[in-house]
Amino acid sequence: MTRLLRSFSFRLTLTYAGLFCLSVALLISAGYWLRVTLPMDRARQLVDDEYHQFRAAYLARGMEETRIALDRRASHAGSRKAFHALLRPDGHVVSANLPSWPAKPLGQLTIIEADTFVDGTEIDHNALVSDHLLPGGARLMIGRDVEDITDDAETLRTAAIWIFGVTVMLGLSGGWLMSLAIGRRIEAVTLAARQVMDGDLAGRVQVRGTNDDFDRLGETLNLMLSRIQSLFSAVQSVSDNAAHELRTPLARLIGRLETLEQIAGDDPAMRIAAGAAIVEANRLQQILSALMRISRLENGRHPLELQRTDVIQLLEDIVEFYQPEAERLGMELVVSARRPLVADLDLDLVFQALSNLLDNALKHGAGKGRRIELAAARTREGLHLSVQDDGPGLDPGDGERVTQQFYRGRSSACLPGDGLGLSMVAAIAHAHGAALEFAASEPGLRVSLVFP
Amino acid sequence: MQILLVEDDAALAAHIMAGVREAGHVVEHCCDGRDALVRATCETYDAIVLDRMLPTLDGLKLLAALRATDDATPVLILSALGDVDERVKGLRAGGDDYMAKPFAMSELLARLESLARRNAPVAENASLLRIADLEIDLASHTVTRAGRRIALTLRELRIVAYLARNAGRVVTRTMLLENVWDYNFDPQTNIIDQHISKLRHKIAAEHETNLIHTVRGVGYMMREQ
Repeated sequence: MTRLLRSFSFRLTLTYAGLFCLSVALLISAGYWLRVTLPMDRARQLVDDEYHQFRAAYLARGMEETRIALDRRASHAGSRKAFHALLRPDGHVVSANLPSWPAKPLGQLTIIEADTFVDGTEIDHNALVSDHLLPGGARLMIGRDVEDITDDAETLRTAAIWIFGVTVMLGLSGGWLMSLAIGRRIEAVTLAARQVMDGDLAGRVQVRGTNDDFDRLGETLNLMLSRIQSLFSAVQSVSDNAAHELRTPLARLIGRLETLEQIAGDDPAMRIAAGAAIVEANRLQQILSALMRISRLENGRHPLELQRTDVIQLLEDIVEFYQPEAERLGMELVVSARRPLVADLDLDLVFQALSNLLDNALKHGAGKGRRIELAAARTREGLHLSVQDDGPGLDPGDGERVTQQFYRGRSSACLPGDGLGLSMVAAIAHAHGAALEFAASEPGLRVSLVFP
Repeated sequence: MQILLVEDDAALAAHIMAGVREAGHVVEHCCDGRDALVRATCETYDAIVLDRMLPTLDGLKLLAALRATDDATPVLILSALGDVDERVKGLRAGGDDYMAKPFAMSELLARLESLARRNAPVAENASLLRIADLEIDLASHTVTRAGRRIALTLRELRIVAYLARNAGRVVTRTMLLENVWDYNFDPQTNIIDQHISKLRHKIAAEHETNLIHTVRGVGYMMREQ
């Protein structure tokens, strides 16, 4: 419901329905004024005038003359049927064609029901009556039929209720339908954008072919995406080619250095220099292949090979692999997880990621008696794999920067590494759609991968 | 050994040929895919070193064509495409081993030796391996030295067995990693050395001779002296 209310198109239709209701209200009021207020005012004026006329006649010529004049008025066929009643001060009726009246004069213009019977049929009348006591105690009632006006008023009131009701209903349902229709079109754009964000640059907005506004928007976005894709693949192929083309010369370089090492023969200084150069060249090659691998993972060109994995076996394998190093450093590796725990993972990649994390934990949290815990658990968010050390933790301010390529925290300046380990972990997490989280855990650091 | 080298980069080919010749092998060079396929099917080699990106015929297609003729010559693929999935692609296409460029000559030689031996019917499937007074019984998972039983983990047993199968030949760290561990990954630090040193201590008691020797800059070798 809140989503519907937040929907722009729904609010737009609601506003439109509101405006429409307002205009309908104006129209109805105008009709009411024309058909009810105006004629009623005229009738009021007429009755008032007539009353004063007959009052004057009564005062000037007396009861009998007035009765005759009233009877003549009653028999006269006018546009509005005339009603009257003349009562003596003792309540005796002198003349009346009103069927009934209130016991006491109301002293103002009142609408009185005045149904008449003609040949046994009831005819509805509503009389607008001016009802006053005359000097001397006689009571004079002068009225005119306003049945048509009150009918109109009634009809207009009923119509207004229905029209408002239907307008509001149509407005709401129209708004709902419109937000649904527009929402669906916008969803297509969102979907395509998400697909592209997830690394699939081939994602496109679905176009209906009706050439409407949304189609044109979609086509424009698609053109933009195509352009981005072609630019991206141009950049990609340049960097891929560069990385590739670097490999062969690097292979030759290592070859030449190996030859140099052999030629050096008995000269130990030369041999050491050549050996050191080979080590550096190998490092260069490692950085190069790590970079290529990260870029392939990040833009989704490394196909995942998911397989049903015993997660605990995986953790035990990695702990077993690092066990001798941990023993050398006097550290303890612990697996904390409960069987059964299976998940669909790319084994090689997840092993690589955990290996990088464990490697970091061993490097940064090094110290005798320290402990590293590898934990796995399934929660509502998904599968948590975490590596927790009790080392110094992240430098404040390092935050998410640690996953940037070649970024190295201040405290790691004197440790070996090339600043690609966590970038690789982040790329592997991204390829799996997993989240990489860093949390300070007094003391130390817990790095978690959360697989959905 | 008779080795066919299929590589279109002249400088790299010259370097490989020099290295392989120095190790005492006979090597023929071929820089074109089609030409290489003709030679590989007509003559018998102990091993083929194959580049993937070649003029006229792609290395993997060449390999597929070769395997289609029931030719089981060991093939070592040597490629600039070094990522894990490319490696898997190469091995699935029928390659026996895969190396990414750039590589160390010593690594290439070690792998070639190991590959060529794989074809020889030497104790490959035997369940009892014997080096000096060390006996490895793969069927019962027991390792004994001079009658003394040595307790090893399953992984250590696999390391010893791999070294023993390649006794007298160099085994590089990456070869160990690929063959003993079931994961394809790059450890950032050299953990393999720690495993070997631990294993060495278990196998050689104080007075006994060391059987696992370090070959400087290359890897390890298991031999009697």
